[in-house]
Amino acid sequence: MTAYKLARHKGVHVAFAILALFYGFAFFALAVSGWNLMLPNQFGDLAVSGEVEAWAGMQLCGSLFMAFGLLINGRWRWSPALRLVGSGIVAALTSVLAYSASTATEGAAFMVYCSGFSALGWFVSFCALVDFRAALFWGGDDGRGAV
Amino acid sequence: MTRIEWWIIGGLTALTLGFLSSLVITSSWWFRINSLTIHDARVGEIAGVNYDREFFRPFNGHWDVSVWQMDRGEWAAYCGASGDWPYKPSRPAQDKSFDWLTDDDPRCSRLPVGQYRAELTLTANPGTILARSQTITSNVFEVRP
Repeated sequence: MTAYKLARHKGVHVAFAILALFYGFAFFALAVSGWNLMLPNQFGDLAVSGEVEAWAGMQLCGSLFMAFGLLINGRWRWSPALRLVGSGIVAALTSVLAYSASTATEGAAFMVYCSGFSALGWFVSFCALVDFRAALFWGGDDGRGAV
Repeated sequence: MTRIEWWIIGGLTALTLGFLSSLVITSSWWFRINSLTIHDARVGEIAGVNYDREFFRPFNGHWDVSVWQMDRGEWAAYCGASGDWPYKPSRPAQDKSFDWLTDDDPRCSRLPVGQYRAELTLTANPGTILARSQTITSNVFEVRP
C-alpha cells in the first residue's frame, strides 16, 4: 500500500464525509428553494451578512471534495490534498457559523451543533494533513504498482 | 487520474471559488445604504425623505421601491417603482422627496390618509455572478387629512 493512502481512522473520515454530504445537499436544496434558513437571532449577524446559497454551496463543495478524495484514495498521489481541502472547508465554515451563532441572542443550539461538527472536521483535516505530508515526502513514483 | 476526474476537480474548484467570492465580496464593496427616513405629510403634500447612501465604486445598479400600507392591522403592498441606473462613486445629497424616491409613480404620488412604510432594495451588477443587494425598510410614516 502506498504511504499516503488513507488507512487510519478511515471510518471517521467516511462517516464525516457522509454527514457533510447529507447536510451539504439538504442545506443547498433548501437554500436554492428560497427558504429563509438563516435568521439573525439564531445565526448572528456575521452569518446573515453572507448569502445563504453561498454558505450552503461552500458546504456542499467541501463535502464533495472530501468524498471525491476518499473515492480516489491512494489511486492518485495527491488525493489527500482533496480530503484536506474538503474537510478544511467544512471545518472552517462550521467554525465561522459557530462563532457567529455564539453572538446571536438565540444561537446556543446552532453554536453547539456547529462547534461539534467543526471539531470533528478539524480532526479529519489533521489526519488528511498527516497523509498529505506522507504524500509530499514519499520517494516513489505516482504510486502505480507500489505494494 | 482519468480525464473525467480532472474535469470534476476543476469544476468543483471553480464552484468553490465562486461561492467563496459570494461570501467575501459583499455589496458593501460597491455601496452602503445607511438610512431611509420618510417624514409625515398631509394629503396632497409631498413627503420629505432623508436617504443616506454611499457609492464606493462605479456599477450598474437596479433599484426597487415598494410602498406598504397599513390595512386593517396588516401591511399590504400599495404601490412601487423600479429602475436601472449607472451609479458613480459619491455620497449624494440626503434630502429628497417621496416623488423622487418613487420615480413619480402616479399611485405613490397620491397616497390617501393612512400609515405607510417603504422598502428599498438596491442591487449592484444585476443578472451577473457579482449581483449583490442591500435592502432597507423605512420608518412608519403617516399621511394625515
